[in-house]
Amino acid sequence: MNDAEPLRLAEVSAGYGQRTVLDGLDLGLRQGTITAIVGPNGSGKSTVIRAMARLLPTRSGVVLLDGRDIQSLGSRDIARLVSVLPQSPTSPPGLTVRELVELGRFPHTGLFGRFGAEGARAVESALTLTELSDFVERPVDELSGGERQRAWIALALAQGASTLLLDEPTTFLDVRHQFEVLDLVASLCSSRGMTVVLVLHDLVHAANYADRVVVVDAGRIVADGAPSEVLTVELMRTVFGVAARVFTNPESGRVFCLPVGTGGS
Amino acid sequence: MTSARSFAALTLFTGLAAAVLFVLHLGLGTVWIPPDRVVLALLDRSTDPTDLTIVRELRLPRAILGLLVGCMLGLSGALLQVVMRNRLAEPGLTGVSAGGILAAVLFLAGLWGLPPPGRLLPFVVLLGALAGGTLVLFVSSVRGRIDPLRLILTAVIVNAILGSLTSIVMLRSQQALGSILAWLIGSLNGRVWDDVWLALPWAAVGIPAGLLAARAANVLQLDDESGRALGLPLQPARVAMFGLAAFLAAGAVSVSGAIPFVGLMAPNAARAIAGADARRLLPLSALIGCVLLLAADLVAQSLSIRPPIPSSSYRVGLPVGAVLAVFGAPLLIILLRRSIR
Amino acid sequence: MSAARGAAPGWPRAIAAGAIVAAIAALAVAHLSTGEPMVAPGQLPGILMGDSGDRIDRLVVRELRVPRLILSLLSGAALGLSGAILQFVLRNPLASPELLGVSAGASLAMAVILLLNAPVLFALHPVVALAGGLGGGLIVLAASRGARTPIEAALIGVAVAALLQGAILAIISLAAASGAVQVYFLFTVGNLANRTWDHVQIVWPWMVVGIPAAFLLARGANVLQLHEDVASSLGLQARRMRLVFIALAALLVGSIVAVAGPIAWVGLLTPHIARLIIPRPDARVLFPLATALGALLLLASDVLSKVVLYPREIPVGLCTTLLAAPMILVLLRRTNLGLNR
Repeated sequence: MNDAEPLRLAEVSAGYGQRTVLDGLDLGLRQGTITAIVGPNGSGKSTVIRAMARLLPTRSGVVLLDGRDIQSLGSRDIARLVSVLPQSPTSPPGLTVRELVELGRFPHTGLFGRFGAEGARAVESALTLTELSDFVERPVDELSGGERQRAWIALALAQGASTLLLDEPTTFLDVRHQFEVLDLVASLCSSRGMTVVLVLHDLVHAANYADRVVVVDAGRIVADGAPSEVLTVELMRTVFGVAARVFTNPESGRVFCLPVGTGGS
Repeated sequence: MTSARSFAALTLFTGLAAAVLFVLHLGLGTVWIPPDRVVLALLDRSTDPTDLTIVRELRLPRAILGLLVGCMLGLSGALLQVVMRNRLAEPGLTGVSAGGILAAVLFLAGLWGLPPPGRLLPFVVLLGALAGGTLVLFVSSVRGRIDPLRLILTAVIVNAILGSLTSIVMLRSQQALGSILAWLIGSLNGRVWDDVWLALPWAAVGIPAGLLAARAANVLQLDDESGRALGLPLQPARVAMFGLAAFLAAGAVSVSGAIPFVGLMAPNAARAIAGADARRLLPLSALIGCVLLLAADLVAQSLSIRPPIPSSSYRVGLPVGAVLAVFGAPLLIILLRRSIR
Repeated sequence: MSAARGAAPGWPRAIAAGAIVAAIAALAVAHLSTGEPMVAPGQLPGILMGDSGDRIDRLVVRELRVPRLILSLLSGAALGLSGAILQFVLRNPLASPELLGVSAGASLAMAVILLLNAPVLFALHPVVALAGGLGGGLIVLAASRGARTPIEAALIGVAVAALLQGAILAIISLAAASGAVQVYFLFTVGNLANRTWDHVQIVWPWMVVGIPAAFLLARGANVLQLHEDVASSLGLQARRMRLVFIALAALLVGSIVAVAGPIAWVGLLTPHIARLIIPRPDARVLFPLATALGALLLLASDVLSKVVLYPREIPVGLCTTLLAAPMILVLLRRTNLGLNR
């Protein structure tokens, strides 16, 4: 079982300053699946991702990357296994798509190493997969929101990691671009066997795209399972504080929940 | 914000503080004269002729200048903050001081071919101050719009340019300008009655005029639309008030040099205490300016009497501007951080 | 190439490099010839290589002008590079030694040891200046945490620089003879006059370490431009790397301040000019370009400083201000220095 877990948080607690955000969290990822992490604001969703990539040191507990304690690994070792895309990252003015994606090779070249043919191949394939080949010389800060998000995903792909952690990748995108980005992520998962974690606000997206939904509240996991098991009227009430209807989409067989009000609670 | 009664109490309290500092200031020096004897000497009731000479001839002019200059700077800063709608504006941050200094240095170095009689100096400083302020306004306006933060950045750079020109003049005519160094940062050391007579007319005209501008100032604090709706000719009012602020600053700069921070801190303190109503803000800011400058000059004097530097072999006065820079900059940082939040 | 698709075009690199080298060479000849006595450019090869020419000319050129030429090239290179480093890794187009308190801090440290006669070996002066520069820089960085925009952070830097300047003036007023214009200029304006091989000797080791180190680490600077979490998740120890770069910048500036004083505005302006020439946010290009342009700008200023009041020289810092500060103003109006993004 452990062999199939590219990443596992075991009893992890973490926080900022005095504030504890994650409180003994236990979560293992399954190879080649999409896991959606949902929860109310301030529940610790993003912190889960940051702990997974050692962007935030844990206070207690262990993060296992390919079965090894993440503390024993070098920064670049981690970067070759896990890539992280934070919420709405900014790029320096004028940086082109190609230059951005090439920066993704840093874990392989370091400060002094050679870029090499392998690097060029990785960059090209990342650009092709994200359908950015026509945009390579355009400055990232002049792209549309959806294109920009794809450029950042291309950077993560060029990194060559098999686990991809995305923090609210659909925020600030219009609905078409939201689906475009999520479709891209889903295809990466199915065609390349990548393990993906999506922190999401939108429960419709979570139900549509995730193999598994993990609900985090107050730094703990309160529900974990297939979307249809997790996204219930009861959960919507207790965790999100809203009254909701839950339907099943007859075409896809997936559930979707429709919040209808604050539930008078 | 504050009721009329508590405002009166506040003003009274600040005035009292200024009076106490004034008496302390007169007492302090190489010979310490206790407050009771200072008061007696001031009232011409003292029986000790040395007390009379020291207090009335030597120390009184400097203390009076401290009052006048502090008052003018506090008022000038408050007016500039109203005109520019920016709580970081002050004579030093708007090119007014640097322009005044450059004009003064050019004048004193005799570069205009005129013999430099002292009485003309404030007029020259005024011209320079207006020119410096206008230059900063002009350079920082892009298509007629002035962005407050960019204004101050521009002012910093224009100040540096004016300062460099000043330095070149100073290097050219070192003999004529040997004592001008303390002027660059602002000082009240060694001021005599002649300096008071120089500054007095400017204060006598500028301070009442500045206080009378309060109503117009209140309108200018609103946005342009509302101001126009209230029937105030905005541009002329703004130009007039800017000129008034430069006038006050010029009077101060011509006798004491470019004293920093008073014109910035006094209006902000006044605003924190009494709110934004210019009818309260302007007088209180002027009073707080007096208190700040007298207090800083007390510190400067006491440090000059016993320099805290072991190897120091000279007994020269610490310029009050250096004290204000050292104590004022942290306050400015706090202010910036608060305006950032 | 497909570069025309949207990325802003720049000069071809070879042309940019050739133009800069040619300009530096021409200015170097002018630099070695100008001054008192004037030396005809045609005589320079003989004076430098062989034994021809007047004995005094030979002495002046070889013992004074050549070391000064080297110092101005090194100083300009160090300032331009440190400005580029700071703007890159702090992601702030206003970051520069003069707006981050680094120059003022280093200058204060030098004023303290020189005016108070602290027993510090000449060769260790750069270390003292470095400590002061780091101190000033850390104060600004700590005070500007939470600043929302680059301008706000820069204004805090200005305030801290004013504070440190006030402290310098206070020390001068207390420890040096009154009206010491020369002493004042020593610590507030950068100067290269009367520097000899001794000064070159204490500076070059720092340059030989600092400049190549910055070039070698340029790829790290590229990654640092991204969001801190992205940089970390790419395997760069972002915080540590940023500190290394800040220390490098402070080291470069500190050793220059130790021998030449706080030369202003080169560090702020140069990276912006470099970006105009080659508008790529790539440190591997920008760092060497800013280094070369800094050397060029400072050399031009130094030639100017010998000419303005010929035969008298003025401190080079005044010329860098007069050359660079207006250009900064123009850029501020034209491109807003990239502050809009």
